[in-house]
Amino acid sequence: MQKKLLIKQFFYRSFFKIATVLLLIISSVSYGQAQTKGLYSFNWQNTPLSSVIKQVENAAKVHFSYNPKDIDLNHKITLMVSSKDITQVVDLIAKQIGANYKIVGETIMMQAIKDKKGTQHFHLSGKVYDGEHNELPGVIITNVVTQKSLSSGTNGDFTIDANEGDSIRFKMVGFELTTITATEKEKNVNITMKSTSTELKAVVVTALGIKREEKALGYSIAEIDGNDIKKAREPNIINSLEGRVAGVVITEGAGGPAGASRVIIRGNTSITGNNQPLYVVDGVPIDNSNYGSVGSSQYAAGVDMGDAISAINPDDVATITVLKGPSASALYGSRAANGVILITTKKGSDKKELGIELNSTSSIETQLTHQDGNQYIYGQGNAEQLNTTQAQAETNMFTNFGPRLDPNLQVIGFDGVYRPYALVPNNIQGFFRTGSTFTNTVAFSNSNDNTAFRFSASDLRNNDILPGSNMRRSTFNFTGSSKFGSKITMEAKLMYMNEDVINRPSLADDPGNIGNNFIGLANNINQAYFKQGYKDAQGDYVDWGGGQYHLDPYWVINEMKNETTKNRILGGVQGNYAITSWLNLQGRVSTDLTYFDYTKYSPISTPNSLFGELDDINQKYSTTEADLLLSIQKQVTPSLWLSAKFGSSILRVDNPGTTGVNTIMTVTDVVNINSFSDKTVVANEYREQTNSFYGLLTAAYKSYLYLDATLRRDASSTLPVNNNTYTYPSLSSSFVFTDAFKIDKSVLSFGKIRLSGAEVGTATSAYQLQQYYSLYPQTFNGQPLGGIATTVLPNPHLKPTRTTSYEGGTELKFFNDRLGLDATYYTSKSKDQINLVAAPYSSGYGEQIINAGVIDNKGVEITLNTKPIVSKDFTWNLNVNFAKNTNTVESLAAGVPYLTLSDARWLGVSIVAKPGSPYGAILGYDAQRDSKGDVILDPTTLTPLQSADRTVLGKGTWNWTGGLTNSFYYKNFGLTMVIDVKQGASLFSMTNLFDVIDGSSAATLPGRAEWIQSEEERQSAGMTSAQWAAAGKVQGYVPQGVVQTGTNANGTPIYTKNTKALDPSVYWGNYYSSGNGIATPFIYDASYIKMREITCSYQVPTSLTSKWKIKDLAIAIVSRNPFIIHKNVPNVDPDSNYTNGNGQGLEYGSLPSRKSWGFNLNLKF
Amino acid sequence: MKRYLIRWMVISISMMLILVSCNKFGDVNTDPTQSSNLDPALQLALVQLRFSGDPDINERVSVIETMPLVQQIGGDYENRYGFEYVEDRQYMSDLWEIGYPNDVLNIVDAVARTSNNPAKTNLNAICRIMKVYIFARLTDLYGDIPYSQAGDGYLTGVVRPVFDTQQSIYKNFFTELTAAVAELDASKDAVPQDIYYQGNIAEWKKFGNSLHLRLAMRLSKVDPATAQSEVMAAYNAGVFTSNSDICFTQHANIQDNYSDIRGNGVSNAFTQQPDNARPRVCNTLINEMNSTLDPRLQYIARVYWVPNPADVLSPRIDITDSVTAQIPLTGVDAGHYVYDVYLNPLNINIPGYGLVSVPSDSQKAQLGDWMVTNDAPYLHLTYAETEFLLAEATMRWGLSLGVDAKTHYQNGMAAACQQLSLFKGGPVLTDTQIQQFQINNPLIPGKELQQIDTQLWVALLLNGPEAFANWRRTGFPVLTPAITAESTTTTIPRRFEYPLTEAEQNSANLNKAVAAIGGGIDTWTARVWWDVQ
Repeated sequence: MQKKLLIKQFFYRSFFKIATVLLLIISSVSYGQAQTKGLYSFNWQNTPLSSVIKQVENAAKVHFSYNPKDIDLNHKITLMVSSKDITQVVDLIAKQIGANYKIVGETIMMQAIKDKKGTQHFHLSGKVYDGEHNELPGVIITNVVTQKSLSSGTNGDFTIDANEGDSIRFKMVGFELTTITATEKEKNVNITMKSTSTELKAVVVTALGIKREEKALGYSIAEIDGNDIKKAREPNIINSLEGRVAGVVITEGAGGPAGASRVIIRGNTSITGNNQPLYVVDGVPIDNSNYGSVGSSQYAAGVDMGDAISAINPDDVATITVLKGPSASALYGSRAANGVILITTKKGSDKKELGIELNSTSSIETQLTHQDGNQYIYGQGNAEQLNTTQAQAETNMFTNFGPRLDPNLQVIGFDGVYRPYALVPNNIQGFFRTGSTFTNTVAFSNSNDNTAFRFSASDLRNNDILPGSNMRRSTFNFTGSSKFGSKITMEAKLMYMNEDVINRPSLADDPGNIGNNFIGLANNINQAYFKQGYKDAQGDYVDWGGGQYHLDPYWVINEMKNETTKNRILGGVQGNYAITSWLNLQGRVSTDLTYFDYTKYSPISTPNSLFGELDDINQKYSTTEADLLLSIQKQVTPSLWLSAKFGSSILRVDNPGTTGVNTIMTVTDVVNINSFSDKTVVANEYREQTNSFYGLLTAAYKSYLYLDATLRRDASSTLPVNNNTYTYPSLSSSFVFTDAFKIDKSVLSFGKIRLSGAEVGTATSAYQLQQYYSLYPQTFNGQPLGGIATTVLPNPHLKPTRTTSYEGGTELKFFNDRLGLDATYYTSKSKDQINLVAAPYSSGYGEQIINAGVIDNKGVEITLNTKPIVSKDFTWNLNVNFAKNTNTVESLAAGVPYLTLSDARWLGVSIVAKPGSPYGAILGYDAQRDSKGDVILDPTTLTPLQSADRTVLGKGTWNWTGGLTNSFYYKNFGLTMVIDVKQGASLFSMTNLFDVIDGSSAATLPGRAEWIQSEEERQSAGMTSAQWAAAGKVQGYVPQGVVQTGTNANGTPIYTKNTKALDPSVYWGNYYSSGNGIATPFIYDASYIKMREITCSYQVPTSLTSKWKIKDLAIAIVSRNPFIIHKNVPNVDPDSNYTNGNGQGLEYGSLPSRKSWGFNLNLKF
Repeated sequence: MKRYLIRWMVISISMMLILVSCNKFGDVNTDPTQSSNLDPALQLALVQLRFSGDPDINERVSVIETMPLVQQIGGDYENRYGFEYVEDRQYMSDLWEIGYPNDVLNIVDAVARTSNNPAKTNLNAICRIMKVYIFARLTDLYGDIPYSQAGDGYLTGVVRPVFDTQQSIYKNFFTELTAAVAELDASKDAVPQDIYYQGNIAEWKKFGNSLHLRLAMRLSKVDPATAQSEVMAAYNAGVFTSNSDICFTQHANIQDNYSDIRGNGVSNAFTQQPDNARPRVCNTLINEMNSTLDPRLQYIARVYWVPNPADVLSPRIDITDSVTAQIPLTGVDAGHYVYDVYLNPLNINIPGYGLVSVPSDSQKAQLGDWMVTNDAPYLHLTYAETEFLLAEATMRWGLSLGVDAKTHYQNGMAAACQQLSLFKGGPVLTDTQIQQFQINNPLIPGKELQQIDTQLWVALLLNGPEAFANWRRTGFPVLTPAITAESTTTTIPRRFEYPLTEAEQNSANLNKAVAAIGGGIDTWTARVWWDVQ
């Protein structure tokens, strides 16, 4: 693999550096002997020794032997032990209680160091140093026995009262807890405290990779354990978060397993710009480009080429942390204005032994949604008549307005063959296959005192339910760290991913969109017929009745081909230099490099590419980031701890690429660029750079009051030179009132209040300031042509967008953490939006870029973590989250009525940002209504009359979202279910529009039987239609509404309720004619409740696995999206937006969504 | 220790300062793949080719709307918008929404960048003529349009241009054409990039004047006085005198796929369709040409049998002679789909296929394949048109334009017949055929204008917008509206409606223009300024 890349001669210098460091780390790993004894973890907080001993005995199957008069069993132990063997555990306990011990077989004998009777009071004094022998002031020194505390002085000295054998504890943030046993023999001691990177408290990773105690944070964050998402897997890791985090809205689109997802945190903050969060892997922002989607134009078409976050392998993820508001992310700058998703990968440092882990998931995928809104009673035909000629049958293959299906009738088909006029059951479903996904990961990790590494390799193979559509993804991940001497630590990581996707489904208005092309296929025409009939003897495309814009699906899957390959390398080196115990310098360089290649082949005779076409997109995405961070921390007084960090960074994005269009296939036996006689290549290159400087000041007072302040200054290359820097602050505080007021912890065990405010500045994208020209890609008979290439009216006066946000919240824990509540209220307002605003085409540009508009978000997030049942063998955890966000467009530029986010193909529907309306409002034509609100019908066709102007008919964003995670544990069994709830958005479903027009929808049933009967009666009466109508005997469909029956004296129209019946096939045929028709009936409530995940796992007991030399073995039956609990949109999945851009709320010709069931195996050696 | 520390602090702080002090980024924000100063001559070449090569505009404007509207073709579902008057604002909008940001934007920019440049006077003059030509198609279809401030968004910052009245636009057209022709000077800069005449300045003068003549005649009803004086000015300055002057684009043999402009955009609308979805010739045209014993008809209207009518690439076998041996040449009636009138299948022996039953749809005549090849020439302005217009002007006002009306008329007929030989595989009509055609159709007193303009309508086949404009202006040929149940429009539409986007984004200016439309409603049955009753 490296060879291939070297051939591409891209290697950045930083990669050499990374490689060198990797080699160093690998070579310096000493493969410590693997211990076969068990490792134990405990977390004791003020736990009586008696209980500690019991726990150790149970866990390690050992027995303590001691003299109860000698050992104080009520001695309170506060100790956290993580993956230590029994000797180390006992050693730590013994140190705390001041005892000697001896281990003989399974018996641990313990004895007090000195008989308590002989204790003597004395002054213990000394000095505290850090690892570099610097004097350490502000260390909290406690005599554990007497519970007296003091702190070390400015030069680290202390004097404390002690009795012989008392435990003296030394504690300071950032250092390992140190305990000594006081003895009069050594009244003067020097203590060296080891600095630590792993805190003992609940620690979370925050901005810039800074680890913080969760209680110190003044803003809301959410953390997901990597173990929760590696069993029931999604091809795109981010989809695993659906329903799990309050306020994070993830939308899977219509693109299938290899498609991109849209992630929105706390609503949209930019009207026309990017609203998706920044992804940070191990402290380094990564590129999350969407490699290409169908776009937002009326004729949106193409394929969804996926997103960058899907490259992350869930097995490598230790935790995912969501920083929701700008205060959480103020330090990442502009790109973090929409929130940050921090991914911390697993490191090798977790274990002191060689660890091998295997994780394997196999699943099958089937269709989750079916055409559940259609009728299967009537078949092919017009006007309830059976076709009589082949020519007729050719014209109405996609029309279900024939007579009632009857298998005893023989009817002529489009090919002239007579077949029974019978329903083909599960017709379209029969086109799809059962998909399968296999994911296998193996990980190796090792560490010793100085060096740690972890390597993983993962392979994913997916065969989609769409025949011929496959994905393969291989990921290799290496992380390593090594200490060089006492002051320097180096860390390096390298990820390589190779992904190959064949035949991504075409979406929306694409002629190859299979979901679209099957719409309306008559109930009696078997789709399988086209398996053979799609090409003629010459191998040429045969129109199957769909015309040039609706290709035969079998041609699409068998003859056309598209392939996407991605090669991605994400690498970084980090060096830390601990100058002193309180001063640290960190430097990082990282590069994220993706080679993306897309080819699409349309063979000769494919409509719109008649002479063959091979499109070829080659794009490189490179993001290089370098930063320096200087950290100072100091315990100023015993109660006040201060830390300051200063950093600077450079971010450089450079994405060069080419787009090739090759037509006129001259050599027909090889599908390659060389076979095409007409070739064009157009180059592109996107570049931008941001230089930043930032500072962070943190103050902690007595571990219950925390204050953070940040300031960042960015300079962006994309803004005008004289206006390209912007500075923005944030301030946040956390107050743990339960600690401050020493509230009784039996009911309220923890309580905290958070407050924060922040501002973030955002620049724009490159090249918006001037007009460019380019050559037309081809010459015309040798003559070059050229013109203005810019399509958005440039603006040399842009300035940055500002987003200001405030949040307040509380975190409460009751009954020893059995019930936890986290609630947040936030507001954010973005002004000076840099927007693409529609311009009249007569200006020469359809769009212009300007600073205008204010958009705001307000919302609440509530998370409830409960443990309703906790018993010896059975535990039930119930986690509920709820988020409500109101996303309003306050204003736009003067004279701009609204901004279009996307246009629908039909009925003039657009998704817009309109002042006073929610963001993502659906604009479309309603029916005209009279003063009573009744629909006014056209007097002739009785179809609703179209309103004069478009109005807001719905919105594409959710009112509220929520999730419910239930976990049950019984002995070694576990059952987890995740329910995802989204409510209040609308979806304009063009699938349903055409199902109605074509007579496939069940909505077209009313009146059909009546009409047929009416016609039969008329014919037997021998009357003409006119006579029948005159006799008032017509029965059929009676459209609801009123018709104008005259005008009153003032000239105002008089409306009367319609009673006239008509042929439903005529009515629905007229319902939508080009440029006319109302959208209202096809705008559905997209709300849904979905079962996202079911995981049923079994942990094989250690007694069994140890025989097999396996440390840990878990098996699980897993399912993603097993069923939809509730939805309102017929025929399609409400999660079927074809674009993952801002213009949400449009569905057109979606393929069925997928459900998966499978088996997971997790093995640790 | 302390020294060590200070050294590190100095290093790190200075590094940070270096990093952040630069808010200058050099050329990072300059697109390295695109030019900031392209030769305007390449923009000229681009808009010239786009005029007839843009597949969207030409399909929508010519094949979907105007050619069916003037009853030259019809019958296919795709062009029911034109032949059954199915009102589709989007199809009417494409010329505007694609034309302004491409053709107008570039030509306005090219004119601006060549003005006041002594080294580019010919290029400037040609661009100015081209600009008139581009805007003429726009205003003739829509009426009042943004003109004086159009395409100026970047140059002057005017984002919402005013709508100029068609009257003022025409006035400016004449000024521009006169000035541009005067600016042309063969001794000045060469413009080899020009794809119409390869920089032939003498031809550009004739083209400028002939265009002047065409536009002058547009005012024949609304402002006869101006029309006459401008006709005289154009004629005196020198118009086309033979078919060698014809302004045409010889397209390349490229099947467009909506992203290519090298093939003929009108042809592409035919050739991209399988046989069963190709428009047929309208009986209005067949009947008219039959009634004049037009020698071109047998070449223009052909009958094809296609083994697989659903396969675009299926062989096309000309069976005209076998079909017309059994039944008269038949097209489609105005307002009818190809399958509406059912013809009994004909048994025809086709070499290589044996005795074939030719179904109804296949019996209906299509435009000869030679007319709609992808590399067919697009005739922008012909000598024949010039002669017919001169004949009409002479007839209408008795102007003295070289020869009498009859001679102009006959010259036009001859030239119109001969211009077909510009097409690869097109017929070369003999002088005898042409003379017979002229003899068969003498000018009949009282019907001269009808005869002249009906001949012009035939000569403008494949130039939909011009045929549509001339029909609106003269009322000839006399067309019977096709009234069908599929549309509530019962008269032949006479203009294009403004795009919804313009109505939304430039409403204040557009509303003034709409208010000036007769009836004050933006409808396609209203008339543009020069189209008076």
